[in-house]
Amino acid sequence: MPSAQGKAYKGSQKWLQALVNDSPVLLNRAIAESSSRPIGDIHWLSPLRRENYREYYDQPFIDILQVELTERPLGSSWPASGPRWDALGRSQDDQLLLVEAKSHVKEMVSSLSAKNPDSLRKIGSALAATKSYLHRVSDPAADWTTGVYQYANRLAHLYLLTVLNGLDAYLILVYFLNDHEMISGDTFVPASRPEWESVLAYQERLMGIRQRHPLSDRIVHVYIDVNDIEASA
Amino acid sequence: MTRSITDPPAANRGSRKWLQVLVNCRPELLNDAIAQRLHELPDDIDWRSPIWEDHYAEYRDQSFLDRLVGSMYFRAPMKVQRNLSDFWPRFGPQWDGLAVTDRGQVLLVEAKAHIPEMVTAPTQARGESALLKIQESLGHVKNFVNSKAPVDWSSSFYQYANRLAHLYWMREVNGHDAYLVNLYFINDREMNGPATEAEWQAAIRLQEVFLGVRQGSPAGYALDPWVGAFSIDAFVDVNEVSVLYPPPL
Repeated sequence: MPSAQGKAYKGSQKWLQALVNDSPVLLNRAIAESSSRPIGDIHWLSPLRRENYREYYDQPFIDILQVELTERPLGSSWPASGPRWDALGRSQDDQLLLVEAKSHVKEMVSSLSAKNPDSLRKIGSALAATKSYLHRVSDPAADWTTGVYQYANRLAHLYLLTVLNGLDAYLILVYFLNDHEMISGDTFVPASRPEWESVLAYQERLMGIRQRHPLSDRIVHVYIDVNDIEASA
Repeated sequence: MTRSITDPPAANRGSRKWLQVLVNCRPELLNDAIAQRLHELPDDIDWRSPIWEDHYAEYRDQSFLDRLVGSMYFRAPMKVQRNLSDFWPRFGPQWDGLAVTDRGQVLLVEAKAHIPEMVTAPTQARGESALLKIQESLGHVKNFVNSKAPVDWSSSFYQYANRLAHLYWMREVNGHDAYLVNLYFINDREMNGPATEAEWQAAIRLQEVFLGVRQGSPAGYALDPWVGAFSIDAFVDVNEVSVLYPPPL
């Protein structure tokens, strides 16, 4: 079932909701400028104001993208309650955009919490297959389930859609700059693109991933200053 | 070997090169970067390694202790409570730098010039007893700093974790006024390193959250007080160093 998310009042959710609904030109331009492959005009499918900013996961996320996983269905690769996508879009050229957004460093850290043996087996198998696909350029011994799990499961879904099902999908990673509303105690809020790039270099090193790998052309890192969003509102 | 001389001894790039340059040619720059982070401001720092006269040797295991003991400033603790060999197996951390201040503060230095250096290979310890000793000591330290992180400290975070464990052994077990100095070089373009302190800080914060030494608290995401006090971060911009290579042997 899709989630009734509601309006967000701070953090990456708030800024992404604002971009998708009020300033899509800013988001689309940032994606176009950051992608190594041309991306056509984007039609955003979530999180839409008229749907109470609903975020999608499991089969409804496939359905809203208006595709079918004919070769390898989602349910055969991933258990229920999978990744909840911050935003989903589709370009005029039928490119599928899966978006994950961050506004501070702590958001980068997550670990696998599933306990069900069948779920663990399915997830382990999907992560291993993704890692194997990147085999020549990754460290097979790296642990993708602890600390870096969220990025790992997003990669696994990108692998499922593109490699296993032949779809033209992209993982769009949006990093917000200067989200000072999220500063609490010692929370680190990056103020520049190089600061985020340091974090990403550390994360990819942990995962044993090099900068260039078979999926790297399909991963788009986008940096948006929240001051620009406020100015465009 | 617990005293290591690389080939060539004088490094020609990266964090080893810059530390050799600073210790031997520009110690005042290095001392200033570190001293302000210590609890008591020292007037002098006696660098024990990497020293030109000593072929830029780096030390590990008992020899790193012996090297520190040889300093004119070294102050013996009241009593050795636990031998290093009981806490850690042979082939423990090889220290990039070692020093003692005129106030008796022991400095254990780990230097980095680019982000990938922060992530290291898991422990290479072979043998059940060595692995058990490492796991037991890391577990003890992890508990001491209240880390609830699910990550295995002996895996990708092993280098920082084993340095933290040795700080714990020096300070809490044996009573030395020890500090772990995480020395980060800025603007090492040859190594594609960070160009600002903030770039380093971003990756450091992520590492701290991964390790569980920075955790949620009523005040926000706070660093463990012990780690914050004794595992200190110092930054040196290589553009300020002005000497490009350590003196050849």
